[in-house]
Amino acid sequence: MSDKFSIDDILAEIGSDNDVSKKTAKSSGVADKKAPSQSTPGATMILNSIDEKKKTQGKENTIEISTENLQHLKGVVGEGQRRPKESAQQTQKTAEPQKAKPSADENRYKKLSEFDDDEKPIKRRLNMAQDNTMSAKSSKIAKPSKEKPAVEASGKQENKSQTIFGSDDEKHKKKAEKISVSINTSANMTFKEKVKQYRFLFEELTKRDFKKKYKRTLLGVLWSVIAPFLTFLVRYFVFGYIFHRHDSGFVIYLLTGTLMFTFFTNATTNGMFSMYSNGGILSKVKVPKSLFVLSSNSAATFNFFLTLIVYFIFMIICNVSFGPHLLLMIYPILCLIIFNIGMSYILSALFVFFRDMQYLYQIFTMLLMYMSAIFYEVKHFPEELRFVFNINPVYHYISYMRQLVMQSSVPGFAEHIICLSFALGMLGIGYFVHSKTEQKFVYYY
Amino acid sequence: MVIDVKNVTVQYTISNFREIGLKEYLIKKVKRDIKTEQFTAVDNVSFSLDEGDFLGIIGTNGAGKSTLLKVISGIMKPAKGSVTVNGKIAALLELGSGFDPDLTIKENIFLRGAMLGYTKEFVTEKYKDILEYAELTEFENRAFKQLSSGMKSRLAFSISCLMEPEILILDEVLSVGDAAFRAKSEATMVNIIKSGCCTLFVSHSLPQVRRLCNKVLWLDKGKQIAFGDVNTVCDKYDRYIRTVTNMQNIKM
Repeated sequence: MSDKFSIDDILAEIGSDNDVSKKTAKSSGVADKKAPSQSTPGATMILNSIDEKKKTQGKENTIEISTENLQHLKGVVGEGQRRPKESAQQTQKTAEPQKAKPSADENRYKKLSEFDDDEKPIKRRLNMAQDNTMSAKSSKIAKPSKEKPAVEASGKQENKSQTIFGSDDEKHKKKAEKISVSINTSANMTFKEKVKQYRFLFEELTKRDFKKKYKRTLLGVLWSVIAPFLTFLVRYFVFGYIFHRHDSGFVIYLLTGTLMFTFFTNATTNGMFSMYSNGGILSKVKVPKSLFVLSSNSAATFNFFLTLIVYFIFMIICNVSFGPHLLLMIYPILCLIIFNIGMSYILSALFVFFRDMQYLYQIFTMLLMYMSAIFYEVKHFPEELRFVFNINPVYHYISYMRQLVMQSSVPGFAEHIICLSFALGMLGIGYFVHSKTEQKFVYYY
Repeated sequence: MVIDVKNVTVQYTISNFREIGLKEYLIKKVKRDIKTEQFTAVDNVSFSLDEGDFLGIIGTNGAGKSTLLKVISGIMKPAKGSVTVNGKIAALLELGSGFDPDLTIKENIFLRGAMLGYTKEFVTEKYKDILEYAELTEFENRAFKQLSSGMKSRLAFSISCLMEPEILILDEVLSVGDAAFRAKSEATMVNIIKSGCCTLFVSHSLPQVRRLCNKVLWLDKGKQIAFGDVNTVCDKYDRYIRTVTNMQNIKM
């Protein structure tokens, strides 16, 4: 509430200025206790009373009535919010401020649930009631103070009636309402200019993501090469020399899996945070939100290509036969990039609403890692369990890479279709979820 | 007509599921225990502005001024009503908003320019002017978070104004900065109005509103109390504020 003082206080004070009896002030105090949660009518009321004051200087009688009337109206509103039927009837009978009903608060929730059913008739009745009381007094009251409070009262009635405990009704209402926002910022812009403009923003965002990642590091971008190099080296020694699996090509099998899977987790985890961590910007500046998802993904992709250089070094160490077929590597990588973007769209939207996602996702990626057969081979599994790998898109991308690198052969046409459809499917779902929810993000930052 | 706002109502859901996590949300969903309550931040506001109009938005704290600006700049969607905006918006909502604290001033200017929808060439061209206007040339490579709050607001103001926007939205940002800069910024504002830019401006300083604006919108608890000529509305608001202040004095 913006004012420290409720409208009752202010009205009471204005009233006492004009010799209104203390009774009014007292009853306003009662009204205050009656309805602590109710919102005060605010500036309109005060203004009207000021107008009254000016117009009818010296005519204390009129002012008294208008103040009383406002007071009374307030009573109607306050009562109406809780017990609409009775108050409406009472209004027709009496013009005096009503007394508190102690049981009202206890019955409040029950009454509210009944409320939406007969909301409309009540509203009509309440308005009628007000009109009646108003017209009775209108001879003495100036026009503005008659009109505005009545409008406000009915407005409040509507507000309260939207406080419904189930959300179904609300949904229906919202559908029925006309919503339209048209901002023709780019009305006189060609498609080319638009692309140019967004490309600039995209570049700046990607630069920023990358810069922030290596802020305050001595080696900077070099870490993108050093870190995977060291990881690969550790795995090379642990599995090659300690477990003596050097001969069977297991090391390159493992590194291929690690390469692809790390890219997947890095890109999607970055993507997950992209909406929330840019909340400060997104809630203040109108920018296409999906650019932030894309830029975080492109920073991760850039990192991946640096890691790919390291991977090539290890391919040489492991005596992989090089040939033009390796150019086809770009296919599973491209599919994985698309898949990552789709996944990031979903995760980033979910993360805005539920911060739990980061912990859940950690568990999920661990599960997925075991489902991707990075440390072991699928052939050790019984036939009926292998479907677990086949429904995992990341496994498809990894095994595509493995076949290219280790067997120097290109997977079949069906495999290409599977890889691409997983990627496009994920992108489609992700984009759909994101665009459905992005309007609500601003309330959750 | 540059901006046309028709019967705009903004409602938030304030409920107990905003603060809770996923687990509790699911449990409550099963129990059907989710209490939603609609909070109306902006209630049925309508007005329209033409080229060169300078609108001042006044009202007590929590009146829905910033929310209304968010709707106009397209960040929020109204629950009811419609907003039509023709032109490029440079919105400056709150001090230092939309800047990245870790980036340098230079990087922030480019990022901001990009977010406001300008091309690289344009920002490069304007870059020097912005720095000079904000009197921050020597701080070019400082991180944004190292600036004083006055400098931040100077930078923000400079970017928004020097990018030649068609619509300028300023939310309580002219009241910061030192006296000299304030005088300079007001002079700039006058130039901007002359150039035909439509400006929306939130301020708690009534004299400033009277000086700069030609139209005023008064909001109170989301409701539109008055919209119109600057002096009529300001006088009314002044009287209201005085009454409220008197009330408080008497109370004390």
